[in-house]
Amino acid sequence: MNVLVVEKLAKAYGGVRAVDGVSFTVAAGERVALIGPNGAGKTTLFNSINGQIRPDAGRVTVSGADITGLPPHRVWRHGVGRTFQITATFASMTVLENVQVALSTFHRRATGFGLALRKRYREEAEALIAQVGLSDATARAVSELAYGDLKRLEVAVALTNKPSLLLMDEPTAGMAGDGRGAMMSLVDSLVSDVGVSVLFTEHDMDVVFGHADRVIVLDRGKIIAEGSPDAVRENDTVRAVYLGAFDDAAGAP
Amino acid sequence: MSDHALRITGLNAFYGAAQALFDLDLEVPKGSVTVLLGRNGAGKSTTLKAIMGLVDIGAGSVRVDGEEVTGWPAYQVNRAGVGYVPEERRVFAGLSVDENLLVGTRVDGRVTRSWTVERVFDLFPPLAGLRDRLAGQLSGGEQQMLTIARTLMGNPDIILLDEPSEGLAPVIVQQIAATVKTLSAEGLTVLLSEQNVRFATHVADRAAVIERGRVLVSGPMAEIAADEQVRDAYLTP
Amino acid sequence: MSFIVAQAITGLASAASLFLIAVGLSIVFGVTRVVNFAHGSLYMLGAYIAFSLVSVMGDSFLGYLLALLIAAVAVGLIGAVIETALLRRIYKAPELFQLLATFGVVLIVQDLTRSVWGPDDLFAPRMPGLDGAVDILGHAIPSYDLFLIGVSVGVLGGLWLLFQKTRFGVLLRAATEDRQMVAALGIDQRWLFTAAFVLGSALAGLGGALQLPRQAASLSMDLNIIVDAFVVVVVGGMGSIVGAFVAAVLISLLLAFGLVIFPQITLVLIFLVMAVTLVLKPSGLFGKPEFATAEDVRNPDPPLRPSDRLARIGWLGLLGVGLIAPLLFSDFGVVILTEIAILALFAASLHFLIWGGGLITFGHAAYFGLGAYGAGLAVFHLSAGMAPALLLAPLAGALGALVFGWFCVRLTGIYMAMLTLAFAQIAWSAAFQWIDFTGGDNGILGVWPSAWASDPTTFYYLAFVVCAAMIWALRHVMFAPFGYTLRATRDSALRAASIGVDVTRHRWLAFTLAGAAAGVSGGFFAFAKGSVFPEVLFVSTSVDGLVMVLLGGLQSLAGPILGAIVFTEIETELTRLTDLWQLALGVLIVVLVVALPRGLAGLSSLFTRRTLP
Repeated sequence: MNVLVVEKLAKAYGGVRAVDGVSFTVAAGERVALIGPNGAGKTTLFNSINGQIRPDAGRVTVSGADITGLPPHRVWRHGVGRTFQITATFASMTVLENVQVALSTFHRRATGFGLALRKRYREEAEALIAQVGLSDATARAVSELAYGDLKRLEVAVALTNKPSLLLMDEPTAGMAGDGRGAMMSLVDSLVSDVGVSVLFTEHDMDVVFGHADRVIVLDRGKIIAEGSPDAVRENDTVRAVYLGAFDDAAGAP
Repeated sequence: MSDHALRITGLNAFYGAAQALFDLDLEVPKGSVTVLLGRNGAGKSTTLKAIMGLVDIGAGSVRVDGEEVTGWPAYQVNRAGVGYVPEERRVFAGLSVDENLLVGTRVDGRVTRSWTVERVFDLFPPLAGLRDRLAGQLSGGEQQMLTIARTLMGNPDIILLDEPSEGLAPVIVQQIAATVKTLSAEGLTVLLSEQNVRFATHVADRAAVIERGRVLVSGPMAEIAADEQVRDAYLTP
Repeated sequence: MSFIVAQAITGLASAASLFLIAVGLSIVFGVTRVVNFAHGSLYMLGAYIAFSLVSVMGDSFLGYLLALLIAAVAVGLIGAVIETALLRRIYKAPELFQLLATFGVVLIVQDLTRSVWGPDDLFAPRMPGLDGAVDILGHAIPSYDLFLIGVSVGVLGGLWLLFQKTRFGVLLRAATEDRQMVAALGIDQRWLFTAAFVLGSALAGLGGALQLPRQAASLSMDLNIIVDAFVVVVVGGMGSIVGAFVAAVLISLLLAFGLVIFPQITLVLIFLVMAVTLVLKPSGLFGKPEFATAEDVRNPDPPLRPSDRLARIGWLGLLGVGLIAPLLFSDFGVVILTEIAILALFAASLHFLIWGGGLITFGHAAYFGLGAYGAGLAVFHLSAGMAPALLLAPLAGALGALVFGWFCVRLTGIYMAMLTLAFAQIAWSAAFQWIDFTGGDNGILGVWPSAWASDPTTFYYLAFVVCAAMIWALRHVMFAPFGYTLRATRDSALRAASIGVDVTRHRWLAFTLAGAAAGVSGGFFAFAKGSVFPEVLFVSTSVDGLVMVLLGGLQSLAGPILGAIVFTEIETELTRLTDLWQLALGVLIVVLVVALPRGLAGLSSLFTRRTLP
């Protein structure tokens, strides 16, 4: 069963084909990494799925529903959660309130004028916060959180709509070594416990090769390779345009 | 004259009312390649910005080659010989490659090591064919080359590189690493902040670990790498 | 055919000054990121200074020309003074504060100009040598019009050369994109900013001086031209020189032909052009998409806390004072109290948008004024009683906000501020010009409370109870999911959209809600004054509201109330003490923005420095 089906997706900017007829799928419970040089079209592709960008052609289907060209807030209704390369949270609220706001949209109460928000969805929010390991920080202001905790909060918020697909843009960007490992174990546990599928971009090849079930390589808007981490790592084209001397003892990094 | 290209003592820096650096001490010997390690928000970028005079400084002092530059505006720090390459590249997107270089060019006749347009194109051959191209139309790797080239046009003695590998493909990161080595061989002092451990250990001969706006430990790369705690927290790929 | 050509030339001649002022505004904004409200004042000064010079040396063509050029240079120097004395201190301040501070300069220049040149319009002689007409296709075209067209094309070409071909121009363009980076590359950006501001000011001064032979120098030149210039800059795209030129020509031609064909709806035409442009291309014809306003991640507002014991005592105390106060004052005192209660609601509705939603509006007077006119017109045309008229007020405010808001909430930051202002000025012009319906300048008189509420104290209690209830309701909404979601769109629109919030719709609802609340306050204002004049819709009313909000402190829910009390007191005293009260108010605003950006409530924080945990 495929959670995400992308068919012949295309988007051009003034003659430059940022995404040029890309097709791929993500199966239920699968972790797929999307890698490629800068300007390969990863962000455009991601944003076309999420609805921030309207593709010129092609089709995006999530759990059987056609979401092509829908705006982000409607894509979300189809069970797509999103985290960003640079964390996007509500800085003037507490951790709990961040999750409560998201839950109020999920329960279609975002325009509620009555009962105060702090009295709504408390237990549900606390359960999600516990799931990402942030219980100790529940009542803290987001502005006081360490960067790694902000990234966890983003995951909790992205889980409020009980997503079948998580889109994660560089989940470990900006984290030091130990934080990266912890973040990716959280992602692994979500996949095994909740059964969510994950599509992520990443520049850290250790994360990619350590945590992806499948890797898709994009260059100039097209898929140039796709397969298991090992197969992609050995692919000559990928080494030439993207990986370079990765893993080569003499040629760090 | 001083043995240290940069010497920071007791530095406190602020964003508005929020303090980001606390009594930070750091020494960068001349000719070294020093890397600042630490988590996002630990204060690496802030340290570089504080040196440049781009954030508010409370107490403390920054000396460039022995000269006190604390509290100087950015343009004066630059003229004292400090070049700054920001994170996220920040080329002037609406200006051509040539015009970007023009902005970085010194016109007040300071000649120590004379970088010219020709020499920076030798260093970054891909840029030579793109002189009239708008910087915004360059790829991420080309933009990173341009920001470094633009800074070199000001003939700095010290170059600050903020997360030079962030968001770049491994193959480009390797090129940037080679560039850093070349610049070091030219006699420039390099201070960079970095999350990419492979990159950091490859190019740097000294390191300082920053946490919560303070330097936790600093010294030659080999010593830092030998510290088990530091290795686990910051140097595990 | 020949008629069309003649009309087009008239339009292009008008475009010249509009282009000069708009391009100056655009250059200054591009480099400094400040929208200079006082740019219209510089234009006005250009005309006045040129008038004085022309009367001394304007007997010959060359003397006259020299007078115009000296006026431009003089205004450039005045610009240098304004930039170094004021703007340098507020480059890091939020956009709203910058707009307000430069509006303070508008008030100061107004009163100073009045003191120097007097209140009457000043007519200059025509320019010697260009006072005749040229025959084009059978129409007599003033030769001065052709001269103006030549000047504007010349300035456009000169600016193009400056920006494309000189190092200074490249630096200006670089600074437009990233001024911090320019500084880090060794360029003294203070000098660059001053230079850009002087250039922009001189262009405004030249624009004003060039108008002199066509139009008298008058004290209303500043605000009239600035709104047109805002429209031009918004349509053309902020920061774009070519955009300013194209839009100035477009708007001027539209006005020239509109005046002949449909004189009644010229305003509506311009409004339509602007609305259509912004819906199709939110950053204007030649503008670049605005990068997201830098959210100050490190200094966010603290989380919202429900009132603790102390705060509850404070609120109850305020309520108690409000209930007891009329017993302690004379009738005049009660009138002031009524005004405070009404303006507190106006300020609270504005605060709801700015603080709650991050929606920077510079035209909130529109909804206050529509409420006032809704009530007044109901009394005047329908002979409605007070109660139905007061019910109509929020409907009028909400309807206006619904229509204008549909456009405004699609924009952010400075674009939104300018569009809201433009809409408010359109509403003002409509009230001013639609004399049959609104009474125009003469206003609507006889809007008195019903007999049972005609006693000042009774009316006060009515206004107080309704306004206090509305303020409480707005506060309650901030704690409800609606308010939190609104704050969510402010903190991060990107994140809000990716948790299923229809950001535009939510902002639109909030805008309408605030419009309704401002309408209530406007309705009461009409009955409190017994009349409605176009001034209720004017930009100064919007600014009064902003000053109240900032005076009380943006980050406190009680701020707008405090601000309304202090502002009303200050204004009452100022108008009593001095004729130059605009000057005094202007100075107050500038001091407030420069020295007390957190308002009176923030006084204490000046002495402490918060540290991160």
